[in-house]
Amino acid sequence: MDKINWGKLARTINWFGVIAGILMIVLPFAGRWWRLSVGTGAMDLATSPFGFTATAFGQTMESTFARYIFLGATISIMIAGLFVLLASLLPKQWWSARLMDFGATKVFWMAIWLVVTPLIGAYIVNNILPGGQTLTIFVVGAVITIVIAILFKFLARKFLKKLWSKRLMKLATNVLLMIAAMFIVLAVCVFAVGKFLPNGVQGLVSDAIPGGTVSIDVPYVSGSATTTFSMSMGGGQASVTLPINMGLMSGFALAIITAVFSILAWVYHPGPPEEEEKRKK
Amino acid sequence: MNKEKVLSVLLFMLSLSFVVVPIIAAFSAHGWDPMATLLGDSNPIETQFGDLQNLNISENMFSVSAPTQGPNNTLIINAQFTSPLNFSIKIKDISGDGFSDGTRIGSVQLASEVEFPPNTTKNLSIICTPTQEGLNYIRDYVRLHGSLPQIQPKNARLSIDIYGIIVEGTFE
Repeated sequence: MDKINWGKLARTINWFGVIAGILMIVLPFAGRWWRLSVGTGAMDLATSPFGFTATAFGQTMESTFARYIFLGATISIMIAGLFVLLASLLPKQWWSARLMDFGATKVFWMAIWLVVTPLIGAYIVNNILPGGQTLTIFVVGAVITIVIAILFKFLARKFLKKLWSKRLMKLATNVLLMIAAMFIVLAVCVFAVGKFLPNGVQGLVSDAIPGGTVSIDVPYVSGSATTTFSMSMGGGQASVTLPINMGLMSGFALAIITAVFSILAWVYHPGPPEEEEKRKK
Repeated sequence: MNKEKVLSVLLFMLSLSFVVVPIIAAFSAHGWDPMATLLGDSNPIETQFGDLQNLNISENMFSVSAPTQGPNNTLIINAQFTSPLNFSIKIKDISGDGFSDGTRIGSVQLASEVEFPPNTTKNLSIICTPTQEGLNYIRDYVRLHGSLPQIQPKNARLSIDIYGIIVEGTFE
C-alpha cells in the first residue's frame, strides 16, 4: 500500500473552500440577517434568505409561499456548501471546478440582494413615490453600466489569461449587470408613478382625505426614521406617526465572512481539466 | 456529450429545482389559491382591529368627577375611562386650556401617561394650573356656589400610543 503523503495532500487542499463550505452549511442556522420594525410591536420583521419571523400587532404572520422558498434556499445553500467542501478537499478531480462554480458565489449574491432590496425599496418610497423624478438619470445609468459591463467582458476575453483574474472580472461584470438591472427597475418605477400617480403619493392622500398630507421617510437598510400622515378634521388636526427602525443583524456578519471565503476559494481553485491542460500547453 | 457537460446540466437543473419545486409545492398545498399561498390564513390587522367596526361606545365609558384642590393652587380633575379595545393603548398626553362658562381658567395637563391593557378601566389625573384671572374666577365661584367649578378642556391636544404608533389630535 502506498504511503500517503499528508504534506502534499494538505498543500493541494483549497483551505479557503474548506472554511467556506463549513460556514455555508452552518449559515442557515446562524440567525437572521436584517430586521425591520414599525413602532413597538406594530410590525416586527426579521429575515434572511433562509427564513423570516414576522409579527404584526402581536399576531404572528405566516406565508406558505415564503416558507417554502426559504426552505428551498436553505437546502440549496447546504448542498452548495457540501459541494464547495468536496471540491476543496479534492481539487484535482474532473468535477471539482464545476461543483466550486455551482456553490462558491451563492452566499455573495444572497448578501448583495439582501442589502440591495431594502436599499432600492427605501429609494423608491423616499424619492420616487412622492413624484417629480425624471427618467433620464436612470436610463442613462442603465445604459452606461451595461456598456461598461460589455467592455469588461471584451477586455477579459482579450487580455486576461490567468484563471483567477478571469473569475474576478466575471464577478465584477455580473455586479455591473445587477446595478444595470437596479437602474432599469427604478426607471420602470419612475415611469409607473409618472403615469398612474402624476402628483405622487401626496396627490393620492390629499384626494382621499381633504387636507391630508404625508411625509414619508424610510431608512436606507439600517437606521431610524419616521413617516407621518396628517389630516384636517373639522376645526381639528390629526396625525399618525410611524417610527421605522431597520438594522443588519449578527447573521449578516457571518454571511459576509462566508462570502469572502467563498470568493477567495473560487478565485484560488484550479479550473476545469480542459482549462488546466490549455494552461500547461 | 461528455461527462462535464452532463454535470453542468445536472447542476443547472438542481439550481432550477430549488426555485421551481418550492413554488409548485406552496401553491399545491393551498389548492392553487394565490392569496392563501402568499398571505396565509391569518390576517393580523383583521384579527386585531376587525372588531373596531362593532365597537360599543357609550357615555358610561368616560366619566369626570368634580375637581379637587391640589398643591400650589392647582386643581386636580379625575376622569375615569374604560377602554373598549381588545389591545393595549397608552394615553401619553392630554393638554390644552381649561374653561368654565366661557372663562379661561388656565392650562390643563395630564399628570402622567397611563397605559390601558385591553378592556380595562383606569383613572386619568389631569392637573389644571390656573392663571391669576382663573384663580379670581374660582374664588368668586366658590363664594357663590360653595363648590369648585366644572372645567372643560378647549384647544385640547391628545396623544395616544398604539403599539408604538403615535396618534395625535388637536380639537377646538
